[in-house]
Amino acid sequence: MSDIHIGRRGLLRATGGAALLAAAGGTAACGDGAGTGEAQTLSETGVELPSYIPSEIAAPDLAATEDGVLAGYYSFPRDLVDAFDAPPADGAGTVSILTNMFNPVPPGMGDNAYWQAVNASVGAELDITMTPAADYLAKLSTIIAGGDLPDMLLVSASLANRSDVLANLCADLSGHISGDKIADYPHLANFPTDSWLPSVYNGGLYGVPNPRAIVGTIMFARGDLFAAQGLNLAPGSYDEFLEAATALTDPAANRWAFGNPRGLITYVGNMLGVPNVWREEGGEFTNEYETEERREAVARVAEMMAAGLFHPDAASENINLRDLFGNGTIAMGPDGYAAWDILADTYGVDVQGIPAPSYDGNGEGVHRAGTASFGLMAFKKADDDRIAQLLNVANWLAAPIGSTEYMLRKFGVEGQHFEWDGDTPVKTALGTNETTVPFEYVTDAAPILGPRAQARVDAQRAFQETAVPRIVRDPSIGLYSNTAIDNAGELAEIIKAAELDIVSGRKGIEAWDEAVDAWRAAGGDAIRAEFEAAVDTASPSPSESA
Amino acid sequence: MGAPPMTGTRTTAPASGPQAGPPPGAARPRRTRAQRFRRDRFLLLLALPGIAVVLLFHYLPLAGNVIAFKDYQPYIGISDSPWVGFANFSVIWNGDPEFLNALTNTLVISFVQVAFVFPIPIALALLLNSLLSERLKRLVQSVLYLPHFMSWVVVVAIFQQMLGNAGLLNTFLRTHELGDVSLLGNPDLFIPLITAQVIWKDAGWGTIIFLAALSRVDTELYEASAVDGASRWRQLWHVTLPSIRGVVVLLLILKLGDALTVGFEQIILQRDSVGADASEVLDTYVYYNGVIGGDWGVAAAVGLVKGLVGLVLVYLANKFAHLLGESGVYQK
Amino acid sequence: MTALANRKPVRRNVNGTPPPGIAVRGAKGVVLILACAFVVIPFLAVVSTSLADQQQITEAGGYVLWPERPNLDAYRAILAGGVVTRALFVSVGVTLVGTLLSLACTALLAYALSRPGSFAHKPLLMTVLFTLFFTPGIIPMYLLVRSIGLLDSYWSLILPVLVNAFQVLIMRAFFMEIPRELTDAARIDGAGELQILTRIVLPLSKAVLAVIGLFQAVAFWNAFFNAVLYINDTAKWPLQLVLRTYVVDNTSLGVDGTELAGAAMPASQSIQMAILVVSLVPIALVYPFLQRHFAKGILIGAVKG
Repeated sequence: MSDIHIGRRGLLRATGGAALLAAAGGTAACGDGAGTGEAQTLSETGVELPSYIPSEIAAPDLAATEDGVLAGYYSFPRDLVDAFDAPPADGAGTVSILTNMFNPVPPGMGDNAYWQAVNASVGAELDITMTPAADYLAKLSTIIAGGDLPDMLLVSASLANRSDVLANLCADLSGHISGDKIADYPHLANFPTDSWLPSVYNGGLYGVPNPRAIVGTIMFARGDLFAAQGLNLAPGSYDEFLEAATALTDPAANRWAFGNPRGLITYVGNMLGVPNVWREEGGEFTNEYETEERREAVARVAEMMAAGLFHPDAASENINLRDLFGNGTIAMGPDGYAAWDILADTYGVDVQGIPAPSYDGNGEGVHRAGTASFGLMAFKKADDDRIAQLLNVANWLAAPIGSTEYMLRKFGVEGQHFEWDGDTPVKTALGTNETTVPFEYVTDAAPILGPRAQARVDAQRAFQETAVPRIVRDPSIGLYSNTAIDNAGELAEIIKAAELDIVSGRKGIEAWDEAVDAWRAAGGDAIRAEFEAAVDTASPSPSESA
Repeated sequence: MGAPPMTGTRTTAPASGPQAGPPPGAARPRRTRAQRFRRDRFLLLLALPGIAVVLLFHYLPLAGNVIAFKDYQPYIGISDSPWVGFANFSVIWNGDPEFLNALTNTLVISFVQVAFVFPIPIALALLLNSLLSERLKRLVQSVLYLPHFMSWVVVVAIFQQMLGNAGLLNTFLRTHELGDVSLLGNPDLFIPLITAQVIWKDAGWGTIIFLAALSRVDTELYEASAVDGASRWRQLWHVTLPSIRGVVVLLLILKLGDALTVGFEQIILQRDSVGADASEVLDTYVYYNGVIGGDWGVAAAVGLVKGLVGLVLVYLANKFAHLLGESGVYQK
Repeated sequence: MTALANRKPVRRNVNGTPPPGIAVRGAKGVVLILACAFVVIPFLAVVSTSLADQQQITEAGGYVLWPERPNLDAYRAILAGGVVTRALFVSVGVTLVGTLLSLACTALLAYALSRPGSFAHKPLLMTVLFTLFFTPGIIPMYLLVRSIGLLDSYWSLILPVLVNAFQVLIMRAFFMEIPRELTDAARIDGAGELQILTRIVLPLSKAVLAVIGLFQAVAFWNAFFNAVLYINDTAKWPLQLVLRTYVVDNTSLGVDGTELAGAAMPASQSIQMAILVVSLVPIALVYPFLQRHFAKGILIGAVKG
């Protein structure tokens, strides 16, 4: 699929169809809608996404697959390759960038040898304005209100009127990177197609993604606790899963099966074949909340909660779930795929992923796709030469593992910021301190598994190989609804409050129906109408709500 | 009366102040505006830096609050964003039962805080003030004011660790088979819980202002009343309390002006454990029904309404204070 | 207010009354010990957790009451590399300059407003009072700060918050309780307004100056959000903002883990508690130094001279 003109519909056909069909087969209750990716003849958004051209810099131990299973590395490649012959953004001068950060503040550029080394290798001065992620939206809004946009800016998923902001202030990159033009930026071409889809607005491509694995959230389990009880890490049905959870729960020993009720609702929903946010059939959208399966998932979790399978403070959503997982107080919990390494490395425990079984034991559960991009790095409107320079910066930042540029970006200068310990790079104190410049929130190399010990990478890979074929994508990604963004918080809160009221026993399951009605009235129906209009018209600006 | 002591701390006032002007004297006759301006011109000069800051950094940007009546989009700009009349106010003007619930909760919490939280720093200050040992007094003060510096995230986490359903208390009870008590996560106990947290966090800090007021009490008054054979309680009532009454009334009036604002961060952090019915307050309601989506207009609109309500409350409270012979926030 | 002649000598405490009985003292003691315990135990937990190792924190599931294997790793991690140290200096500077300027403006304004009947008294007072109820939004503030060229300047952290109406009103209330005779007498002696303020009013108001100064210092010390908006250069970030970057949103194993996927290892609980200690200690140390201004009977010396 590296060379075809591919639109939204084409993407579904190419990467999601099989999974959707699998989902349909797995769950009779909702089976009628899922396979529609094949059947419809709706117009496309008209955007030609960049082609996917896998990198050949360093051959992985486990190759990536076209449907989204990540490449795996058992160790860091030591024969590093220069991804660039010369600094790619030479002549770009200062490139101002606004992004968020999750790391401690690094020393400023003038005091930071790592930052300077990166600048030298890129060929431009990367002047990054960084803001703690929690405060980023306010910062972004003030910068936009002030009117002095930086060259590149991270546009948050929750920015109100995002489509208009992009159309009015930011550059449409499709003339530079659509289709095979992306070959000029080979490391961006290494991004999976799924990651580009959230960049589509107004019939254009408005940014470079920060790629993430499509696998998204995983239900993690303490493999050692399962083993101690002789429990099956691959339960075949809801009942079997429930048995395991019951066996793991022992309040006298301060242990409960779960700590996160809403995460469990999603997981049980996967068993029941709940759609990923929306289900589309024949141009008509149905939200997951409107399905009987989702209601049932809430009811099941309420039962589990009543049965005492949850940590007693779980409904507060205020407990440190990772610590509780690490110390064995809770045995299972969903988290982002990257948490696999974080949990295993931090707590030194046996972490395993449990793919959702089908609810009744016939067939398979589904796996909910994650958002394959963290935010959207948009470029300020500029002439083509400047845009090309900025794309060269992004291309450098996306240089994959096995390249000298990758090692420089992730670990700094060898001997100064890191040392090799066997095949593992270990940061020095200086490296730990200086390498927290948030380049990784500008853009990043395509995600991979590892490099870690083979056993762990194999377990992660096995999970992906099971889950990815069952993946259910959100059909609204790549479509735009203003209401979906503006009312996101309010709508999420309606559902969240109802879910917590029900699972904690404050209200009965009938409160769910009221909440869904409230959700529809508060914007759910409006979003549906906007998505349906977006699919229905091939208009280049599908975002305007009626 | 002797001359006042001329020593003491030097002021940090900038040198821009005027040199000593001629004394206005104590003349009684009514003056014209011009005469009063001449008389008070140095006083006005002293007010100038502060007033300038207020005008520049408060009133000027306050003009931006017109976005309460606009569909404000930062990328369009304040002046070019379209007018929408009172649409942004609909979040609090729609008769939504959830809004009414939030308003009720807010008023109940505000009342509880005025009735039970407000007096505690006063009582604590009086208690500290009555200590014989100055060193002990300072030590206790220094300890009690520390929690003020903890963020709500930490305070809530600590309460949960201690009193939560899986906290120290309940773990102890469970292991000793004494059953358990649901203190957190119990909607009926939510208001007592957040009240306890506010007391824990800010009671010690709140004493500071009253201790400052108490430091002004003329010790001769105590001596005189003691000589009169006044009991400690009578002394408290007739000497100590009157000396801090002005500050207490002032703070109480200002607190009333804030009646629609109750601990947003504190409540939002604990909302999930008790549900919205018990914990929704005005600010959280507005947050979830508009502001969370980055709707600047709604935030401005609600700010205006809360400001107006606060203004009216303070006006009424001040009038009431005047009836009782207090000077309140401003004079008649 | 009565002042009667001294008739019979009694043993007095500070308040001039005989020491209270055992029961009263005992009750006070119990109340204060309980109050202190309620405060000290959680603080002990904070400090202990900052010194504890990950293993013990993991076992305890959050906070530990006493570190079994105390170490300073968390503090080393924060203080390594000098970023935090630099921010500490920024915060101390901003807090000092800001507090002094703010105290000056507040005292001048409060004094100017402390004379009912003076020219434009009520309009000025209302001008200040209104700011309590109506606050500008963050975007208009940003546009203002930007238009007067304060972006990336330390002044952007000081000037916008220089005058706080609440504090002006408090200080004004204290000023107004200074006996009129004192200021009138000085005026007759030929003192000007500034002299009256600096030689009579302020020396008699050390307690309220200490209180308001403390309020302002704490506000400057804790502020981080203006720096988020106004300061792009991280080298100029104050301590609270720098420390904020150590406390990533640790709502992990959550529903939306995907958003954070790829994020670095979140700071451990011990680092988060060490951050709390680091940010708290400097400002908490201020108070004991101010306490001497709370000593009793300042006014009497002045009045009775």
